[in-house]
Amino acid sequence: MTLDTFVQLSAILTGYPEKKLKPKNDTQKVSEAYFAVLNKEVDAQTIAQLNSTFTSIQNPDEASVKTQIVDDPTLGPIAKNITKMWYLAIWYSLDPTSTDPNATYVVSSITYKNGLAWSTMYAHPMGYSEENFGYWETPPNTK
Amino acid sequence: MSDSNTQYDVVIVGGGWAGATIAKQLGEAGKKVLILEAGNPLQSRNREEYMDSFFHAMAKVPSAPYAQNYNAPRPSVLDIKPLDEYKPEPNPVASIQKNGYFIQKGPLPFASTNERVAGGTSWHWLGTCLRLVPNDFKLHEKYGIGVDWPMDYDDLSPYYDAAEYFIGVAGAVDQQNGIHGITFTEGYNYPMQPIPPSVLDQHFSNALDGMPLDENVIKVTGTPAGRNGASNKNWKTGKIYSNGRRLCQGNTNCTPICPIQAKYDATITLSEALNTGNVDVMYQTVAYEVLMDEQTKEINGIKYKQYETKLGPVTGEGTATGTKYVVAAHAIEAAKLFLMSKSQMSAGIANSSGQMGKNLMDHPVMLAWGLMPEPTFPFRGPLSTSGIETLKDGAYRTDRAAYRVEIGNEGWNWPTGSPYTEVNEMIDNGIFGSELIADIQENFTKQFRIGFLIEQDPEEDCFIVPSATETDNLGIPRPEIHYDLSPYTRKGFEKAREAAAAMFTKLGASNNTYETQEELEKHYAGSVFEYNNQWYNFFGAGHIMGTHRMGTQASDSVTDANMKSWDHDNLYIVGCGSFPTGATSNPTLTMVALALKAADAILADW
Repeated sequence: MTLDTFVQLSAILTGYPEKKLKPKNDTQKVSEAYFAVLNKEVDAQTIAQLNSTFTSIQNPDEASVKTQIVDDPTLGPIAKNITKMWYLAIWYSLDPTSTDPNATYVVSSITYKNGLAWSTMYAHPMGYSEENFGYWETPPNTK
Repeated sequence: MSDSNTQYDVVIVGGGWAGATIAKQLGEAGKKVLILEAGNPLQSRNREEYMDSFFHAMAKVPSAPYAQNYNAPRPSVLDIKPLDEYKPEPNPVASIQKNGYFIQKGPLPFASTNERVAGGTSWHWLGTCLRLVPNDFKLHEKYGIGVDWPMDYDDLSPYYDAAEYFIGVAGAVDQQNGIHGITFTEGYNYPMQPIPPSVLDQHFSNALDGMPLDENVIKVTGTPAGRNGASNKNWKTGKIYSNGRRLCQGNTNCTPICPIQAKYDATITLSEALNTGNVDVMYQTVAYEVLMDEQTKEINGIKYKQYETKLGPVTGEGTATGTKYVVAAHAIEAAKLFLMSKSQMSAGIANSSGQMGKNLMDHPVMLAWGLMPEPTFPFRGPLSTSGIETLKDGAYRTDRAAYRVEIGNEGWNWPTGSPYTEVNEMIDNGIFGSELIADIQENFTKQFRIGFLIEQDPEEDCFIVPSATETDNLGIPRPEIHYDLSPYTRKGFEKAREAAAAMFTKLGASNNTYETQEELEKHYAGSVFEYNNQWYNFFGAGHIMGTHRMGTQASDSVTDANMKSWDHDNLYIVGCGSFPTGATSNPTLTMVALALKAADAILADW
């Protein structure tokens, strides 16, 4: 799987356009970080299967990704984990019985600050606000 | 620097809130001061490094930025579990890793935590700076509950003024004045204007102000806080107040750490103390015994052990000496230190009353949470900016605990681990893409929670003692804690739940609070209890009080109103452990006011 393919798939899984996930002038390199985690945590064969399934879909959209990937018993857990990374900046262990305390982890400080869950709800990651004194007194711009 | 040639006027155990405050006051008055600090030096990690630990922590609990130090360990809320799951483990490091620092003997676990590092628990405080209300000082006289303080509101009021400038508090006199009889010195104003209310606060205010509850009426007020807001003119000098630090940026992270130090913490005061040139600190120096002169009963030394790394061995031992001694080691550690000092007094130093370590109190917290009828946009602003202070006193206190209400700006983060828990659940259920965005926007923007900080009456059977068997990595006994919530306090929970339900109805909000035994045990195993056929959970507020209480007589208290030991003329014991009763206001402001009072008394007693 290429980084570009990963970003295309991520765009459908997250609901955000590719250019938000991987901006032209990408100072944060969040997509690279998540792509690296995917390649570290998931075996090459499964990633290849994810790649071939996704690239074989003509004009992929949410409906086709749902039936062929998210609902697939092998690929679904991987797709869900990719979505969780984007939203929460955490890689969750694929083995729910694992007792290894390091199997689930925050990918990095930079990705934490870019977690999509926060901006989606018009907030900021706890501990990382770029706004000014008193901004909380008025509702955020939800446009 | 150990047993150096400097003759110290005062030896202080603990470089946190109270210790740093007194060190600064004494240092400025020209006294030579030595602080023994159990934890790492001020300069050992910078704020960015602590933030990095926080960002990487899976559980963003109060201790998340601060690594465990097995030579000066601290408790963690992650260690709270059912009592039968605490398993003995001979190796102290393994035991702390498995069971946590506290040896919990129950019947309920003690749920609050502190930090052991230069600056102390001020690193992770919320910032709330509420005064006690006048009747909090005379709970026994008014309501027949607990004991009275050896002072009243008017005695402490000037020290509150001083403490609010010492910390740098943003607040409004006209909001606090008159609440249950609170008064301010003529002409007084806070150093800074109040922190603006959040969108949620305004909804609360609009919906609930004027609502009667029991014998009181709800009024939502901005919470005075040690966070930087717009400056006022100093009421005495007329000069614009400035502490040189940044305005609050609303990082929603006061606990566990303010990323920009817009919130006051005691490292500021400790640095100022050091800058007087009269204060020295020995870091990584853990006091373990207080010694006295057998004839005069005056304290004549404090024995300590030193270490270099958090897992390393003892690297030094010695005895710190001075003319006077101040123990400011936090309520649990201070009491433990005196109770460990048994070689000359079988019941421990400063313990002729038998009260040392007893009357351990917290503000057990009951959370209630739901969804507002329209978005109020949580996870924006400081963690809490308003509260309800008008329910804190009344004739009901003969019968049940009082509470204050804190309005939270962090959605369901505290009770459920939001947004992590819910986002995980959504994605596990197959939700993704545009539906995920819509669901998050629909649900999270309406999340809110309130916290009831419930009064805990002082009880002899809530106490700490040094463990007879369990130690830290230096071989120093760990605190063994016996803790429960009295029927008086439990009834406060019952009334708090009723109050939450009434408020949520008035707000038009859903009530999503876990209230069944099954739900509570599933989410909060270990800190669940029953009262009057209802089930509850409690959280710690981090307000550890009562273990060396002040009083009017030596027979039932540890110190007098100046926090001077009844037993030893040159010994002062300060911090939240001095509180005879806990009331409902977050204790820090009162603790700093008391530390300033003790500093005055020490200087006057020279």
